[in-house]
Amino acid sequence: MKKCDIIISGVGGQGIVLASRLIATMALRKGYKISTAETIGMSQRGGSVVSNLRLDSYRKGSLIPKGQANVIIGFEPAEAYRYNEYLNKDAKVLLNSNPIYSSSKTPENEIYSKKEVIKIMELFDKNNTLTSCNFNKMALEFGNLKTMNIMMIAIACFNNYLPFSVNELNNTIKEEMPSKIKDINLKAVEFAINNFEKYANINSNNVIKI
Amino acid sequence: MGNEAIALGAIHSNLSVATGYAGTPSTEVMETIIKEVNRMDKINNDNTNDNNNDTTIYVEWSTNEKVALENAIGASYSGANTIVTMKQVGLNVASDPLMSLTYLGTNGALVIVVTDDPTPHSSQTEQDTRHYGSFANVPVFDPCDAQEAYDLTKYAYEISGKYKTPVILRSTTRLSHGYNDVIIDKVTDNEVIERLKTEKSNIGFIKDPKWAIMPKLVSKNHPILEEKQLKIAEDFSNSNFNNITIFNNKNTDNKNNKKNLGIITSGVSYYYTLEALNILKEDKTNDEFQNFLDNYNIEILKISTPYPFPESKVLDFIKNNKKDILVTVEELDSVLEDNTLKLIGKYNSTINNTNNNNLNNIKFYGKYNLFPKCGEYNVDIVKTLLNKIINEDIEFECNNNNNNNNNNNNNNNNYNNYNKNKMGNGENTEQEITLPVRLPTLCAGCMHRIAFYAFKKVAKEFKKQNIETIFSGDIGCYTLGATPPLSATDTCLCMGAGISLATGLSRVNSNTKNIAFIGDSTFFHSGIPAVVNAVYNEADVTIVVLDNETTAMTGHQPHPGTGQKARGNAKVIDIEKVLKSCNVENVQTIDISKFANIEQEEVFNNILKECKSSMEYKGVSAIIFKGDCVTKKIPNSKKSKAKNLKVVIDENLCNSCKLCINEIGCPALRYDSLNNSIELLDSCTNCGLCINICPKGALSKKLVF
Repeated sequence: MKKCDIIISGVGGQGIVLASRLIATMALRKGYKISTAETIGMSQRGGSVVSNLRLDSYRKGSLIPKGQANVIIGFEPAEAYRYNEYLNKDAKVLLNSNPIYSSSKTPENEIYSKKEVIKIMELFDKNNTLTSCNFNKMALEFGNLKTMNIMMIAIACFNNYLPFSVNELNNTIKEEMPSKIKDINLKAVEFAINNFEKYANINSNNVIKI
Repeated sequence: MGNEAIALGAIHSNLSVATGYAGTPSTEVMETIIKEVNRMDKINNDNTNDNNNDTTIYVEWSTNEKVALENAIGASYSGANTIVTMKQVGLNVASDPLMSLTYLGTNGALVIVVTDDPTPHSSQTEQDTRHYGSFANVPVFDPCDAQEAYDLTKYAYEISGKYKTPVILRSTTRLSHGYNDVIIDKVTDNEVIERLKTEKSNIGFIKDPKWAIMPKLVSKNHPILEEKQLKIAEDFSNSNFNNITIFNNKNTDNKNNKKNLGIITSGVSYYYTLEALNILKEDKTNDEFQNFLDNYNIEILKISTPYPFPESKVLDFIKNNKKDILVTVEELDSVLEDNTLKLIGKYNSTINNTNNNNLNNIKFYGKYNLFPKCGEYNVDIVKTLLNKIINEDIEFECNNNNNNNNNNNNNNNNYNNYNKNKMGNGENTEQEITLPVRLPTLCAGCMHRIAFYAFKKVAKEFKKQNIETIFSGDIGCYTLGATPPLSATDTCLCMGAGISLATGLSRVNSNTKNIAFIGDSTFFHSGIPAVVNAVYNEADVTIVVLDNETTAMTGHQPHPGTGQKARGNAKVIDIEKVLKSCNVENVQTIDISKFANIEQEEVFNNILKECKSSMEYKGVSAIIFKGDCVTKKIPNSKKSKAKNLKVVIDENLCNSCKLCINEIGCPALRYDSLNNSIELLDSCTNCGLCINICPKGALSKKLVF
């Protein structure tokens, strides 16, 4: 099996850890060897959160070296760009274009704005394969912001960014998730795949809009 | 998760008693055991919530690590298999019983799980627990991934039981909080329960003078203890956990013409080393390394039992295919390195120098000349340094200082470019991107922010009279009170030190007010002796107990002030009563539940008044801020009618003076430079503290439907 090094990054509270566990579960079912590293501990609410997820046919250390990641699932533009140097040149980028601003009193936080978000998208678009949508909007219109992470995984599978089909994702949800949340997650997957183009930030003429 | 694997390894080794104190990254070991016990109890249809019957493992969140270990020791003396969990600084607290215990030994197995935290991610120190092994004569196990964590835990129980010695299972953050696919034994719940029954029927304390430590007994036991270490070292040398990986293919040519490189490593560094070598090997442009592979065999020895050091195994490794170059790769301190160098020295000084068996002329690379002593390792660091060795472009300076400084800079440049906005790989630098800085901060709506802000305001008043206020903090969420703009923590050292530090400061800083912030869990952990000391020695300090009725930082473990135990409920020990019984005469409690009307001037001014009178009191005074942690799930019954009252910003009144942001640093308030406006983020809990700050009255609570 081909190795797949995945970075999932975002802001504390977005469901990154759960997303990484779901992908790990899919990989387990396929017989991959798995190593993951997560940042948890010192007050991660609203802090930068990153999960390294490594799928391979043999065991590895859990931290992805620079230039090795095949995929990044970025829940927030700046948090995706933070790990830019970890991506290899063929890396695929799935981006949630909805920025989350930080309130710590620093000059950077006053500068980080939509302008920076557009710059980040342009760079990813130029250097990598990029799919960028406003997943916050998508999840809100679906009716539950908490489904954002499952929607991102669904699009990652649908666009062949991850070595799993949408079918495999649905089966994992059916067989591994608590029954209370199965249905809503299955519906969220369907909603994301049917509607994601509506929320995409880059149109066919390559014009970026947020 | 590594921690889950350790917990299952213990349960599958006939565990009967588990104690611990929460601390990142160790907490999930105990939480997993509790979860498993709860699950099995349901299977057992034994919903009595009895935490200590024949078919359940006894679980306990103890008040501190020393108490946790002593509880486990009592159970172990009686023949029970036990586990104690803590983080590395917790072992400092528990070191007193540990140092004595080794002279007496144990009866039932006793495994102490201690988690180190290279970097550190969330600790006060970067200490290396492996030293406690040689310091206390306690065997140490050091797994490299979750699978080995499971297997090695079982081996740790075996060794502890066989040699009647406590053992340390040492982990690091990457292992504890990393996930791997793990194959575990097929042990059904019923088997676990049956084994436990059998186990428990054999437990009983048998009186014997050997359990009472006396100087005479210690001098009799010490030689036996030293002898024991040699036997265990031999066991470890024969153990498959310490194993050799041949890295490069020997079938290329006659290996006799080749030289030999040996790498001795442990823990997660083992995988970093393997991957670094693989990346170097796959890089066909790296001629030096390709050349090196043609001329050298590379073997890797992974050490999973650093103490007692498996000397025969390591010696064989060095002598077989006699190594020309030896490298030790390990995070934190130079434990493998020092032991290897000592071994070579010992070996060389004992053999007859006329034969050619000596181990001179080995090029040795470790922390003394190359590898960083600080921070976490990763593949990139190891790769860079191995490449350096291969290129032999190392100047052999034994001038450590220079070297280590360089290395640490090196280290810091190698990862965590968190606060740098430059591209790390030199590409795409045509555009500078400014990334936000997300510092750890008190949650929006955190009750601690109210206390810090109130005391800061009062301190300003004292400042007008030329009286300086010194804030001593402690360990917990409220350590974040140190971050600007609150900056309400001038000292912070270790669990329970805040009160004693404040007392010490007050002795030599005349004309100051001394305030000690302490959390509820920390108060029970180690705050009480400091209170007694302050009162009895008539200090003049103000103790502020930030009581959010949970151990919040580590994920809401119970403590004696919560009314909950690891399983089931208990009678609350009231902090106010404890303070009063320690003769603290001036004790007040301020109840800030999330729904107090803190936005009302009168309410807030009352808080300020109480803080002030507490500070003015000559002697030990105490204020308890009682409230809810915003991250704790609050039962619906407590939801007030005020839930439709939302904090709003009136844009017509707001002149973007940023005072609200600069005073309290609430993460729900942000200055938007594009529109020169203040915005309220979704994370706002409508606590209303900011309403007290705005001079324009732009912030208020409005009914929103």
